[in-house]
Amino acid sequence: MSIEPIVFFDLVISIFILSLALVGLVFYYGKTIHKIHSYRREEEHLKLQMHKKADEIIEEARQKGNNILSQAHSNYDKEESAFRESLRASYANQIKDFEKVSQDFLKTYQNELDLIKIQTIQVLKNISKDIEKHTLLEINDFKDILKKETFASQKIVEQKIEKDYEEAKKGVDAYKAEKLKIIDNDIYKILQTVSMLVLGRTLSQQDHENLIIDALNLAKKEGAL
Amino acid sequence: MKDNTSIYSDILKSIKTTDDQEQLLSEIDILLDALFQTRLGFEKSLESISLETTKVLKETFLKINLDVTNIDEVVNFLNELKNKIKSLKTLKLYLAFFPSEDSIDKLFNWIINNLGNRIILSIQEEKTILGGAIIEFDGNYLDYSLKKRLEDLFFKRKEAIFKI
Repeated sequence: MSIEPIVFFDLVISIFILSLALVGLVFYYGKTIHKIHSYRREEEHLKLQMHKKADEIIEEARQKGNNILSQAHSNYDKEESAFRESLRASYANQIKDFEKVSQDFLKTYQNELDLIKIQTIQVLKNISKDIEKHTLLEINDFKDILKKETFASQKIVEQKIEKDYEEAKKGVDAYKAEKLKIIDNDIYKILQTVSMLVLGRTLSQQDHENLIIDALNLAKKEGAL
Repeated sequence: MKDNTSIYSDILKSIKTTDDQEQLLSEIDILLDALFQTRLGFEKSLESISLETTKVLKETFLKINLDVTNIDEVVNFLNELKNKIKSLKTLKLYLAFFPSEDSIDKLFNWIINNLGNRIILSIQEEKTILGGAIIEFDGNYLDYSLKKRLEDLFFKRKEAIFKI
């Protein structure tokens, strides 16, 4: 088998071109890898720089904070003692003021109280007089009314007693009549019983026989036998 | 044997009260039993009843010429006698005392004389009537007691009694 020269040259040229493209590609790849490495190094460097800077800032801030706190503490103590002093002075002044006001108020109150007391006594005296006068009038009225009522009541009571007496008398009369009736009946029964007992005991055997024969004769006469 | 009431009259006259009636009926029953059971004869059977009843029966049999050896005839007589005794009427008397035999005789004689011999007495003691008698006969009730008389008297003359 033999290859055409043209085809051979074409193949060689193609392989050459492809080789050149491959070399170019490898070169580009290597360059890119190098660039990536350089970026990473730069990144780490920047990170280190950033950490260092952050530490510096934190330290500075801490330093400033400490300073501020110590200064604030110092100021607070001063302010506190000043405030206490001021408060104590104010307290003393207030007590003095209150004492003075209280004294004034007490005095005023005492004066007012005395005045009211005097007025009240006067009013009470007046009221007592009025009550006494009014009470005397009421008592007199009551006496008059009582007299009138007493007379009226006496009359009513007399009438009521008279009425009750009449009713009681009627009741007593009825009771008396009833009892008399009962006594009459009892006497009758007693008399009858006594008669019977006496007759029953005094009858002889002959009397009894005669009475029985009389009874038989009477029954025959009446047609019962 | 004569068959009329008169042949029993002597025996019936001897019955004065219901007690006598019961007694005689009881003795006739005993006599009939003796005649039937023993067949010893009339004379021997009479020993089972009272002497008084025996006497009355013997007198009656003699009077009417009854053959006492003929047991059937005797039995017929006794059964007829029982019927006559049972048919006697009763006059009931409530009395203030229980009468003696003499008093009963007097009362019975009054009945024989006034009402005949077909009635006997039934006597019951009732002290509360005081005296006299309450009579029960043929459905009639008649109060002739002393108590009733006194009650009537007191009722009629109440006003007069009160005045006393």
